[in-house]
Amino acid sequence: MNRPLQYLASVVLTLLLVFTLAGSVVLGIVKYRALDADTCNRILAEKNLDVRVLENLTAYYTEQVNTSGIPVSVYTESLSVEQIHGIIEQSIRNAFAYLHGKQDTVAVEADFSKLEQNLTAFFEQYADENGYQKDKAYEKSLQKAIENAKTNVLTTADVFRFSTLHEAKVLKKLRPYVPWVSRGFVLCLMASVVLLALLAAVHRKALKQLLYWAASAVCTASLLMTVPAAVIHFTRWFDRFAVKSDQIFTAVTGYLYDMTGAVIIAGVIGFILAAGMWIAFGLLNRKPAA
Amino acid sequence: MADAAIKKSSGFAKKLPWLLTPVFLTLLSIGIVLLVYLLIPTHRLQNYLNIAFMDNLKITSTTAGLNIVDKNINTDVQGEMSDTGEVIFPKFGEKFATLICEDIDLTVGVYYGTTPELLALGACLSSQNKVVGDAGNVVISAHVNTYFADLSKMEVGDLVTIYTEYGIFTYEAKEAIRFEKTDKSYVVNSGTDRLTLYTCEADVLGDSDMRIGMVCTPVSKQYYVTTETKE
Repeated sequence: MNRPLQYLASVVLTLLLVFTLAGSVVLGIVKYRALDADTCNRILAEKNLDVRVLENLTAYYTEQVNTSGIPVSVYTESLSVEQIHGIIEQSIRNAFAYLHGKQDTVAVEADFSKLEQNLTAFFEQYADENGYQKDKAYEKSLQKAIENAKTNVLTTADVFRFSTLHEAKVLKKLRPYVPWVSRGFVLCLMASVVLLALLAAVHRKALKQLLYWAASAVCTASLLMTVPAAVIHFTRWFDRFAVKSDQIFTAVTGYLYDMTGAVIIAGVIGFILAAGMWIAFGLLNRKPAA
Repeated sequence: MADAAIKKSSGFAKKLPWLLTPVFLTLLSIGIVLLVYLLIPTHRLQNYLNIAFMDNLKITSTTAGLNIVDKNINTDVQGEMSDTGEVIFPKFGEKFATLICEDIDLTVGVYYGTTPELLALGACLSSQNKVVGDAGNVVISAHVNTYFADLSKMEVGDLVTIYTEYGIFTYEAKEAIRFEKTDKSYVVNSGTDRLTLYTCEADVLGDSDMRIGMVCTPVSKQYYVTTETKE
């Protein structure tokens, strides 16, 4: 093969390698990080989302006292951080199980018996003290208060908005694409191996040049991924997120920054790898001293 | 010496392609990415992103969540006014207006965004609706136990004035409304220019499922004339 042709073939193959490598890394991050329930569970623990939810609920019920007439203690004594933690964990588990096709619902079932007991006790006490007749209207009010409280707790604890995404059919739309992430990841990896083999074939007479071209591909792929991810990450771009409720904001932006952080780490590893290969290439190419 | 310099420069010339190739590859890759971005229709995705991550919603505080900004809104009208002008889009959590309805003795600060924290401070303009001064449905809500306690007393024909940093907007109460909290028909963006004020219906015990309010139609829109608008 003459030199210009060899150079052109190397450029084309390296260019393709850039995109298959970037694709492998991005799809790998989506498969092993974005679509992994452990990522959300880690954010739940790191950011104390359960505590934030309970604080939000307490603030909400404090504010609602004058509207509902139900003291905050009726709710706060019925709920614990552990219970909220369990609800959030269950919502995460259900959402990812749904996305991976393991179940068909994201609905969370929680034990609200203490909340029901406390609300019933308060209503009874209130009715007895004020001579309020325990008629149908009373029963309706009690049931409504219980249902509203349950819904409110579940909605507030849905920090990653899985229920909302499910209701808006977003999860349903995403679900068919999830298996393709794994397939795409394997395809990109296989394509990368094939392209490396082709590059090796092009440089079979001076195999050390493979190091140079592979390093160029790894460096370029790292640059393509790292620069946008770093701009988003370090300018705190996701802080523009429209939902400002503390627990949702923290959960969603925490998740998104976790992704950009993973891309940046992968990019930095890529740069180090590329530098190592270039140095190795330089050392192998060094002419012995006369 | 000259030989050494020639040797050195020819050595550098030999290395140049090796040095430039990664740069060339990077530029080529960026070009391909940009080309693909331009060719693939991403407008819909861009719209969703613009809604979910608005520039003016970016918080500047180091803590997550809300950045509440209290501004003093001047209700003492001074200066030149015009029927046309530009709305200054408020930041999320900013007190950007004062709403006055003398008929029910109501004066309340209006915050941009609807969160429990902001509802505790005043009336709230929904960020999903139009901003005061814009064409469309301007939706303002507040708690019945605080700022909108007397909203039910508002009658058809009462005047509501909203003072902002960019103008004064007067509305006339046209229709008293009562709707279920799940009914979104009064708070949707579509339809004519109007101001929708609403709050919870007071209930003896427990949360109310009903909302009450008033739909008002614009009477006048007056924008402050600034040097920029003059030009």
